[in-house]
Amino acid sequence: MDDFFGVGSTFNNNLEIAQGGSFGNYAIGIGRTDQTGVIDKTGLQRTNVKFNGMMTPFTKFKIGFSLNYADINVDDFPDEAGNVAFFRTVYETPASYNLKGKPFATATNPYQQILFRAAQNNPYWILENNFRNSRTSRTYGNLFLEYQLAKGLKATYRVGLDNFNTKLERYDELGTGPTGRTTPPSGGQFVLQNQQESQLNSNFFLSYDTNITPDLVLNAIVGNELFDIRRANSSTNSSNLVSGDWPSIANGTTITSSNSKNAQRVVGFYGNLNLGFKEMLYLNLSARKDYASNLPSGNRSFLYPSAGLSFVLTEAVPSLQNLFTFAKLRANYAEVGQLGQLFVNGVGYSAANPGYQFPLNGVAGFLPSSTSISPTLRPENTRSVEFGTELRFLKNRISFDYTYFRSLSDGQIFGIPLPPSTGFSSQVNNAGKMLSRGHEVMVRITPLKNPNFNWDLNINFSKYKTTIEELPGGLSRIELSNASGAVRLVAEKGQVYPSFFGSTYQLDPASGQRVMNSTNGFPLVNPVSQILGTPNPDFEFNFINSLRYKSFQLGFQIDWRKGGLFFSQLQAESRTRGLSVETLDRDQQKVIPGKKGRFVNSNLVIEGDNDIAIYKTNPYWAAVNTITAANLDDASFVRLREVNFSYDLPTTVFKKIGLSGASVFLTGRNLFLITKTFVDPELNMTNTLSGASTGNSVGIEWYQQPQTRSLGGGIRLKF
Amino acid sequence: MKKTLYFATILALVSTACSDSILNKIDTNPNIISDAPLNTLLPAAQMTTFQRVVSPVSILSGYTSEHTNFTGVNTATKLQVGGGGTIWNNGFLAIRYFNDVRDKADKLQRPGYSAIADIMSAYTLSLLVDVFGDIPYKEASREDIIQPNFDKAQDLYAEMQKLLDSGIQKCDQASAATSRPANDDLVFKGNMTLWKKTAWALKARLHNRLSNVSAQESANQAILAINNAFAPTENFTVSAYQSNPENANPIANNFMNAATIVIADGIVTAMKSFLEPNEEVIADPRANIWFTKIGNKVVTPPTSRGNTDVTLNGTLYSKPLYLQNRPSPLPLLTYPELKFIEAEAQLRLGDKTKAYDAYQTAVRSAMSQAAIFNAAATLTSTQIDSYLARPKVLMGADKLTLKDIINQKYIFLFIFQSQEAYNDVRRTGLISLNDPDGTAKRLPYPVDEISRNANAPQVSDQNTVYQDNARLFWAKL
Repeated sequence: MDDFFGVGSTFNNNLEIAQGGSFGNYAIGIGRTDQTGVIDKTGLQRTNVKFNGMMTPFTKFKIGFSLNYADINVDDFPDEAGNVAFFRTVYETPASYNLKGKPFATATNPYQQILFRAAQNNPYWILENNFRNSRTSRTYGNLFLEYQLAKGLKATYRVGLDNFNTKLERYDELGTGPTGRTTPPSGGQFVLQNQQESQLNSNFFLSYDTNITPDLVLNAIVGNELFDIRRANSSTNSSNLVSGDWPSIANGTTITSSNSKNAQRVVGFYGNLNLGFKEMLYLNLSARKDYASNLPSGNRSFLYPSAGLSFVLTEAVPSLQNLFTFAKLRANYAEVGQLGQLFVNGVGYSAANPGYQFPLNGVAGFLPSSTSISPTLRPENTRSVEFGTELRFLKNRISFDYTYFRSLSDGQIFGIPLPPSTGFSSQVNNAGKMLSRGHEVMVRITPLKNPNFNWDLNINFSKYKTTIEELPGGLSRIELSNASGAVRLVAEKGQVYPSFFGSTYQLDPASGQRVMNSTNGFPLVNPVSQILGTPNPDFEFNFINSLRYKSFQLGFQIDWRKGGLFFSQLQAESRTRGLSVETLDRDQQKVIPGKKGRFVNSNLVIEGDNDIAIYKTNPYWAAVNTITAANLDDASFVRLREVNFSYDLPTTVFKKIGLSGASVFLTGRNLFLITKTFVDPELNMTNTLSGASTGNSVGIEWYQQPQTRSLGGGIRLKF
Repeated sequence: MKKTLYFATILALVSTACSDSILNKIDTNPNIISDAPLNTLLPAAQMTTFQRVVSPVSILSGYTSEHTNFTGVNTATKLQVGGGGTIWNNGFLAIRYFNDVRDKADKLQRPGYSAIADIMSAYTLSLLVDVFGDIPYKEASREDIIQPNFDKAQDLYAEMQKLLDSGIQKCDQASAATSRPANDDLVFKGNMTLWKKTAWALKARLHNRLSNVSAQESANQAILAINNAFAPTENFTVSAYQSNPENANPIANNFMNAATIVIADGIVTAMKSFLEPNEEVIADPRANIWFTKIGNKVVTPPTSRGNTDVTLNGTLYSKPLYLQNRPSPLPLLTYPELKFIEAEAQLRLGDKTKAYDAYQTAVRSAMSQAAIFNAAATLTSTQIDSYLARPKVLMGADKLTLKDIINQKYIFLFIFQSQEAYNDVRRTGLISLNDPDGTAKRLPYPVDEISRNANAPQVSDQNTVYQDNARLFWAKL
């Protein structure tokens, strides 16, 4: 594995020129980034130019303009999900066998792979033959107008455009699984995609600032915002290639094309009012009403207000300044409305591929959508209340921030997975009520402070809990994600959101011990799937230190996370394939402690203490892996997230060569990790499983590429 | 004044930007059409059943009937039977699509389409009921019920007969060419006579399935239905396949991509039961065109305990040759099966002569269909005749037993029809099997259904379906 993943590098070069004067000001810039990835032949090149300018053609009137253009080229790998992941062989080849340097294709046919394991592509052959390249050109910018209507009253209009085109080419060489077989080479595909997106954002508002009395300050804003997005996509797939090494549409014997478009618009009207009294008491009130295209007609507008009050205690009662340098109390109430997915007004029929390519010989195939859309869909609403304090002591040497929040989200718009027996896969609907509450604490301490030596320590602490209060339509559970049936994340009434759901070990109700199957001595599975815990941590701490001694600076961050569970598919695979340390005892016969027993017509029959000696080889681990709980581990960890060190060069050195400042620095990320999980428990904290499914998949690892440890260094020069 | 005008213009622009009609226009999905014609729905619905239901049922049934064995990772059949999710999901999708076809056809008064929807629904439902037992149907495949109740398998047998009766009636009403499909019917190209015979053939199969429930009644009804069903050259077979993987026979295509299926002991034992004790299985002329050989021999793995072998022709174990041909037709219900059913029914009624007549026709026609999967594979009439001359094959009316009929039928069903062999295995208990884990009584309900439907039985994993209480109402095993 170490041989496959190499060292990546990044080079950034930027040049910027800015000037200001009576005419206004402007800045122009040009930048270039060259990046190579940890996998051979992967990388990114980015070139961008920009212009930014502001003019005041006459008093009371300002115009601004900015324009950016970026050209981005990315070479990466078109990996597949789950069982056909191109890199599985990298993880699942025994450490004692090095694929590197060994031939990956037969001598007579470069497209006939030499496989280490049948049905898994040779990753070195993939590197040599397959590619994915995407090229994006993006233009974005905005126009800005401001006019002073009267004293304190301003009208502002800002309109922004963002437009990009991406061309994506993907080539799977003849002989790539699963598009075909490699012996003899067949299949392969060339995919050409074009994506185009334009966004328009227009914002007009009037703002008014005034002092009502010398002690009472008012700021008010009313405005309108329009957000409009249009996407268009076209894709051509040419498969079952005639010849190798020819990435062209003409190379395929089966050519299919498709295109799609979508659009969304949200128009909002808003107002905001701020009142401040003597830098002591602040009141904020706001309201916003949105109209959205992707809500059912007649139900598409929603209003959400907010209010906040903060009170500076040390201003009101100056005698408290003996105790506190500063003390503030605050309270907030806010409602936020949210939208769901695109296109809610109507489902219909689309071209279908039920395992058979249409159209064929003049026959077309159309099928109805598998998504159902609830006719009663309404916008989601989240109501939250927040209380907090900000306290500073000992001339700001110690500060303490505390926040408590409680938010109730009602009717989140969600594609609720339906039982397959409905003939639908999901229903877009408002999904019940969810309550979230938690605490956040931030402590800043400066234990040491003198001209030569300074030490700042920041400690952040967070702890929260989210539970499901109510689900729609008599449902007791909503499935959020499903990793190929091995583990699921669900929202279940009365349980933490999200919770793992799956199978677990069968326990003997009398002794509480695990029960082994009396026919083979392997663990018995509890036939009823259940809630197994949550990926959410109990709490998290970040310790951020920064130390300075004369011209030397050292900073480092340590993160500690306690609790939560993590599911690792790589652990499951490494067990069945005899690659993990746990499987080293596979040549010793063992009796697994516990009871033995079996199910007779769904009733558990215990037949005494387990005395069946077994070898923990593939069949044992295959049986263990049918138990979800067997691959769920405590996700607690301690990680040295970041270290950086810098040195400012003495002024005497750089003055001579015309510089105003110079420093050298070194940084490192992800330097060490202590955890009980099989792989890095932060590996998949993203929202999509690697193709296995979509949706919320926090806490599930499914053949991800590893996180990288990075080291960097550089020089900063100021002219 | 000027300022007021500016404001009025802005306000007018802003308010039209969020009017209901403009937002409706933006939200209209341009990627779909609100309605699709019947001649696009029917072929896609048919292929949903063939490609996404028949194919996985047939492949899994190969393992459970011990026609074949899986030799990918985890070769135990017990670890494979949990993989019925595709069958379940697509089965209910297909039924929903056929309901849609029926509704539209009835509205447009096109009984030919409606008849096919009935017959295909009954066929799809039978695949689901026979592998899962009790399943939702009356409340299933409907948008308004999100947690359907489960129906008893026994009640669904009555439901299937009703659907077939209704289909038969509608076939007779579809005399006008406009009332029925043409090339968009991917099975019979709109030939309603063949659809009607298919309905009768399905009725015969489903009646005979109840041999343990009511011996006489099931036999009488099956014979009655067979009399209305296929002539010797007629079959319910899908022939719309091509050599490209996208339009291939799904079972062959699965094998060409993964090649995880090998010959199991079950088929070899059944073939050998008609040979002499000293003969190898290769003495059955079918073995030669059906199995690959390892060093001139047919080699099978220890059932459910083999090693991995995913090569096309097999390095450890013999592979089924019929799976190497993507354009191969996919038989679903054929004339020889009806003759086997007739032989069985007559035997049950005590008429040995009629039973033997039907058995002879069945074996002969089965032999003649043994090479349909590939133009390159042939059995000569000499080979067929010499097989039929064997004393254990055609043993005479007095010696014919149910076991002979079921064994010959089990051999015949090896080509793409393991689902029906798995039904016979459980219904009769007469096939010699040797999986050390035993035989799955049915497939477990997919966790997708259990976890999302509070009305589903919550207890289900692959172990539970090996227990006696998981047995189907028509089964012995």
